[in-house]
Amino acid sequence: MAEPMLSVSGLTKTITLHILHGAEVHPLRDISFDLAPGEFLAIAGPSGAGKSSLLKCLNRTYLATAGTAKYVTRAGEVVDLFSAPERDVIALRRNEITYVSQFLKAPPRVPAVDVVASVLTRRGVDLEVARERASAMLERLGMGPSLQSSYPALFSGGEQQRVNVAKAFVDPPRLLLLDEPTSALDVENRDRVIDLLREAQAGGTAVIAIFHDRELIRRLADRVLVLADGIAREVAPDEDFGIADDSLADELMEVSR
Amino acid sequence: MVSATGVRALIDERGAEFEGYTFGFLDDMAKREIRRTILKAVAIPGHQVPFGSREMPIARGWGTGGLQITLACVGADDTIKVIDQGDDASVNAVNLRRLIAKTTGARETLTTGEATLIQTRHRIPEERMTAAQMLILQVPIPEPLRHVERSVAAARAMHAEADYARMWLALYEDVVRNGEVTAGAGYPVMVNGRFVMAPSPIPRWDIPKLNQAETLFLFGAGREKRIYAVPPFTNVQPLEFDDYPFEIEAFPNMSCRRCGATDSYLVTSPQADGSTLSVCSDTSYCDDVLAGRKVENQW
Amino acid sequence: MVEPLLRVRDLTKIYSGKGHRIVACEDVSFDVYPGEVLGIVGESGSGKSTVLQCLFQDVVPTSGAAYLTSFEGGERNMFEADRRERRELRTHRMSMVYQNPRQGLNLMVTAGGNVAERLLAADWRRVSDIRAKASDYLVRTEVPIERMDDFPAFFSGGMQQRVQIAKALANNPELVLLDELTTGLDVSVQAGVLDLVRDIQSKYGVTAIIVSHDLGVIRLLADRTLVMKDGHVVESGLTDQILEDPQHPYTQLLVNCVTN
Repeated sequence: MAEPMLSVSGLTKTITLHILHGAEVHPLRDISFDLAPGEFLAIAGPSGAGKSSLLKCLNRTYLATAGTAKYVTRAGEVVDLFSAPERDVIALRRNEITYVSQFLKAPPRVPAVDVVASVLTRRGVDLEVARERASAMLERLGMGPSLQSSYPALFSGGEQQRVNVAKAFVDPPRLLLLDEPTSALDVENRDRVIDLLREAQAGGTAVIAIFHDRELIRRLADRVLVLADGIAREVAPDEDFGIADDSLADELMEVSR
Repeated sequence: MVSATGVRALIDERGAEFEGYTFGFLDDMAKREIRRTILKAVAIPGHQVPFGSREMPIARGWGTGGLQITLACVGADDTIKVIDQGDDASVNAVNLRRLIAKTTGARETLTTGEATLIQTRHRIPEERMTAAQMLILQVPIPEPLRHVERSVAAARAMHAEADYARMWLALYEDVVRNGEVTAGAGYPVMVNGRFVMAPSPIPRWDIPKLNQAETLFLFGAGREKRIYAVPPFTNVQPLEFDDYPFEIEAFPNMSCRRCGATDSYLVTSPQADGSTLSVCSDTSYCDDVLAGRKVENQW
Repeated sequence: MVEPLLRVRDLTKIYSGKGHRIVACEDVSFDVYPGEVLGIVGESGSGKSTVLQCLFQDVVPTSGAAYLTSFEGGERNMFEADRRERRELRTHRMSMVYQNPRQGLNLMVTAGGNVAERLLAADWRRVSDIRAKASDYLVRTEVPIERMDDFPAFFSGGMQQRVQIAKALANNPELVLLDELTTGLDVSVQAGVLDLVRDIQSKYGVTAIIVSHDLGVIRLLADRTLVMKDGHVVESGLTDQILEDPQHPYTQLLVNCVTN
């Protein structure tokens, strides 16, 4: 195995709910794993197992309570994603690490094509070029010009998710954090996303993705991390890790949470 | 009822009473204070220096600032001239001139070239003044920033910091609204590259005369208790935009009805028959041209 | 490594008089980096606006320091600047957009004139250039150009705010301070002004500190956020972290109030 690009050690997350008289929640306990460039790590587990918390900790949307996440930057520097200065995290988010949440968080009143193009313009790409590339990516995901020029807030769940996916792949980062990127997609679009993922991987992108779909895990993942009650165990992609496939109930739980 | 000769007698009698006053009406301490103020004003060209403006035998607003400077500077062997809007013969000009003469023994004149000391309201003489002469201008509002900044304290801070953006903004707004800077009398000037100064309500015609002149210009505002100065050979530039340059008044195809001059500032008044009459504003200059005297009037 | 554009250290403003002592803000410290938008959120009276007023030198702080990299190489506390330097800071290096347009604009000077004032302060002396530049800023802030020579006194609140933003951008300040810029506006107008600020930020990379009691504004515009309560910074972090994983009890309450 190649030198890890990311090395997570002892990740623990405790949430103290002051508004609930200091009640504590422990979504993650002592999680450790490594990830090599171009590697695909799937995260599986029941709802509430801490899957999204794990991605959010890596993205610094959540603050890890303990542990380290040593990330080797493109420039070869080692940065602890959990404790790096906010400034550095912002720079990494802009240039190297992309987090795609399950539900699109697009700014209001911005056309879909510009939502996607903003990924590129923030990296210094000229607006016109960025728009062309964004448009081509959305086209590839089956979204025509009229949808592209509309506001994503008005889109269906599946359309929003495709905008989200387009943001991830319009200029694939070094590390991609995906939270159920295909949950609302039909089979055709799901296959398109799989193609995009493989292309990105071939280009060196390492992926950590939450999937419910066992079939997708089998097709894509190099390794699988199964979370249950905040504790992780690693399994092979084709192993039966005792979690119900693509459970609708689970998804409903996630949505309502 | 007092007859005309009675008035004459009264004036003569009151003139006699001036003998009881100190030289130049003001007491010596007052004159000293004003001279010190003038020295400071000369040292900081364009900067308004406060002074203890005295009660004068004329009302504030009628030239008390100029008069106090004149009385503090005049000597018994000076020759004085007083101009009111270019005219030596207005009641106010005559009264001021007589007061100065009677309390000092200085000689009176109506001729610019003869005067050593000229007090003026709203004009600078057409004839080029020399280093041996001094021009004292009466000033109603010494603060050029008055109409852009109401607070006196804030305006002083702006002067201290040479912060004239508001002044420039007023000029900009003027250009936007009227297509030009409309300021006619009292066009704001920059003195020695440092202070924006109100030149007193002289016409634009007179503004260039302030620049690099041989003469000392003193400005007195009695009501506002300020004295300021433009020393000889000082740069005085009107505030202007590169693309809206300062221009003096033009009198195309016009000449003085009285002396025929075409190179002086003309004042025009409507006549009973519907026509207009244009004559020299500067009566001394007009008299000189009429008498055929050669006058150097290019400032 | 990129140097911060502004470093604020232990900024404190205490109003005291006969028998009263009000802490407006105390020991507030933070950095602002070039191109970044820092949000300061908190309820009214939390001291967030005081921080901006101190930075723009509308208010003299009781103690503390602020170092602007471009001012004396970032070596000298800008609160020690003399009057002239302060003016230079205010007209060349920083600008402020006030909650109330009356504070930031001269309503009896034309919209174009308000923008021009900052250019005139920077010694622009060609009317045609000034007008071209002022109209450029007004276009950026979506003020109809035919209103350039009208008085903002007769503009709507949203339009006044746009003129204020145009003025704040004039002369390319290094740091723009925005104080509750949408608070006085109708909700529909707020959206337009926020979009505008976001647009300008993404196009021109303006460095800004934005103060708001509205988490929605902060969410939309700020990269990083400080949470203030009773004059103190209780929490700071990346904006999405503050919103999704608030640590301090007050922040949790604040976030919870909004999301519910």
